Amino acid sequence: MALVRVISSDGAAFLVSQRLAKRSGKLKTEIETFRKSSDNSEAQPEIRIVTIRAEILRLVLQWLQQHQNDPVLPANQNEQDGRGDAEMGQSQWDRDFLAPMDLGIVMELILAANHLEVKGLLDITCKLVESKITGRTVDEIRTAFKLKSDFKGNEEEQTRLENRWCVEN
Amino acid sequence: MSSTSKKVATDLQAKEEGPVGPVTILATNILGSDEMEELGYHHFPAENISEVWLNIYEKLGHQDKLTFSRTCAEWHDWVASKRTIQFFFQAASLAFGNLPGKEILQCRTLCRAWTEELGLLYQFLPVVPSNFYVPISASGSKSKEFSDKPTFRTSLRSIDKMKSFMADMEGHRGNPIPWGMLDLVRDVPDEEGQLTLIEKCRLSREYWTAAGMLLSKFGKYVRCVEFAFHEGDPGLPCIEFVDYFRNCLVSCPNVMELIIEDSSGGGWDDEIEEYVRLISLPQLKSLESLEIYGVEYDFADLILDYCCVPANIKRIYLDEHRIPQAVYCFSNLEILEVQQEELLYEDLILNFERFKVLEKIPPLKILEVEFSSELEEDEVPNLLDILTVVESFGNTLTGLNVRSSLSPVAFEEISGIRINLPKLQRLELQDYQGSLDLLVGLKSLTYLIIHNVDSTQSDPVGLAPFSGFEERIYESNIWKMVPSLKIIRIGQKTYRRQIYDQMWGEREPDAIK
Repeated sequence: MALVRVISSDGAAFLVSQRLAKRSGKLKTEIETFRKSSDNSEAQPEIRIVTIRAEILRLVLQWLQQHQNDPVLPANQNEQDGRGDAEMGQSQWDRDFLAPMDLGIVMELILAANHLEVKGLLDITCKLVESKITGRTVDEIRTAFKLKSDFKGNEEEQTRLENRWCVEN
Repeated sequence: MSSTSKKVATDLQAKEEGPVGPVTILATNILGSDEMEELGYHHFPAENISEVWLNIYEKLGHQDKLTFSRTCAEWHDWVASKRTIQFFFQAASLAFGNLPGKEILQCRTLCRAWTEELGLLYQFLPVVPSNFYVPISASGSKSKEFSDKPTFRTSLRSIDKMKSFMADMEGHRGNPIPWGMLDLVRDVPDEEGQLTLIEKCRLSREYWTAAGMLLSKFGKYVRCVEFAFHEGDPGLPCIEFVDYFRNCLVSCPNVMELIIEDSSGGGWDDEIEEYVRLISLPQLKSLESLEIYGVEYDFADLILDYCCVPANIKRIYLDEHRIPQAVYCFSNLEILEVQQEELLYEDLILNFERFKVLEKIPPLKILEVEFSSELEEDEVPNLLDILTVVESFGNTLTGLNVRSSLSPVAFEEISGIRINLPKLQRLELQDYQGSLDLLVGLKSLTYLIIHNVDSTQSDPVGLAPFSGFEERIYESNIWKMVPSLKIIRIGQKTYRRQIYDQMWGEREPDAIK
């Protein structure tokens, strides 16, 4: 079985089947580039992902593994159906996968899914962040995202006043 | 791979828990300390002075903060509690696309970091972003602006609003126009029609004087401003308007986009032109985009001459029946929209012919044109005419929208002709019912949109003549002849290549000859 070695920013190595790795648009491109430039067709590609640390890379690979038989969604889904497929594609496994995660980790996962071009994962993580904001009060959002109000003086009130004059285009 | 690495991989497989299938993660682990050195991972001698480094961290920009947290595991742990701030800027640009505007505004009130980052994320969007011309969505709507992000403007359309805004922002030391877009399209009150000319003038003066005062205080924060002069305004001498307009512009030195609409019907004469030349208008060094509606041609020329740095202008919208001379100097123009029902097609041709002889043809990416539909039957241009005219932009043109009806072109007229628009991805036509054989040469064409077609008529797509085309569009050989084509939209209906592929796979539809 053809394998690829994927190395995280903090030096963790993941040995992954190429078939699985190619479900990431980025890894697929890297593997194909390696193939074209390598004389030895048996050589094992090694890909360093300098922007994703091990904890996050492991989560991405776990998600890919779980969804290995799903149809691959185009990276530029905007041209097709927007992001509306996220809810449709979210399984119980996805919900259980995301449920225990701190929203900071989810944000890192969003960036990782975007960088690695894993559309399905990007969709469900973005949807999760949206759901923690839509229809929530300021205090609820602060709690969910572990934010503290650090406005000084009347800055918060000033921001609300600025918002009052904003009209959506 | 080195022998050490091979050994590590083998060890890792042994440590992995759970089933190991043919497409599963085979092994994961952190490399041992020997390999960490090899990978450039080493301890930075700072673990005992975290306060110092965290102090520095707080002063970094978002990109540097990300780098900071990736530097070593220890530093990453120090800032773990700040992840929702640390990753906010980049994650929000991906995750906030579908959030309603109200929610985005609310997010500004959560903490200082989110307020600042949202400001950066939305305020400094380039006027012509790389994704300016994104493809159609499932709903068929075209999103030309900023991908799918909502944008906001600070709307001050009446003197009462202007005064109220100034009262709210009294003592504001920062930017009270958080998204940088200011709307100065004065609402004309219903009762203004009943007012005397003197009263109208008073209201108009009051509004534009207040606008000038507001901009003198906050104009430096404005990135996009829309001015509209109205029917209620003509009582004012045109020279006075010129003064108001000039004063407003002088106070907006950072403006990137300028939108001017004039429906005042105010007179324009040589005296006013001389006056403008005497006082001159300010040059706006950041200006990239202009939209000009209904402005006297001579005044529009002066605005273009004075306010634009020609090499900086990337987009212009005109509703005039000519392209002003200054536009030919916009050597980096990327988007040109010319829409004027009175524009004669032959004038349009003459205007575009001039581009061909320029020393540097602008790298036009998007072209939208509308011309007069009041033409004799034999004067109406056809698709070949239009595509030939725009070939001079062939090296850059990715989108062409012809908003006027074209006459059908017969297959015999275009036999053997190949259009040289290798980058054209999106073609929009109006009421088109002629042959599309010309599209065969368009190697990048991805989206074909034909607006307002009466779907009861037969054969709008000439390649595979049949009636009841809506049901049989997937039998058309256009999918085969234009391999890059992904979506055809006719009227309100969208047809997709993926459905064609699913229907036919490797086979060819019977209808193809």
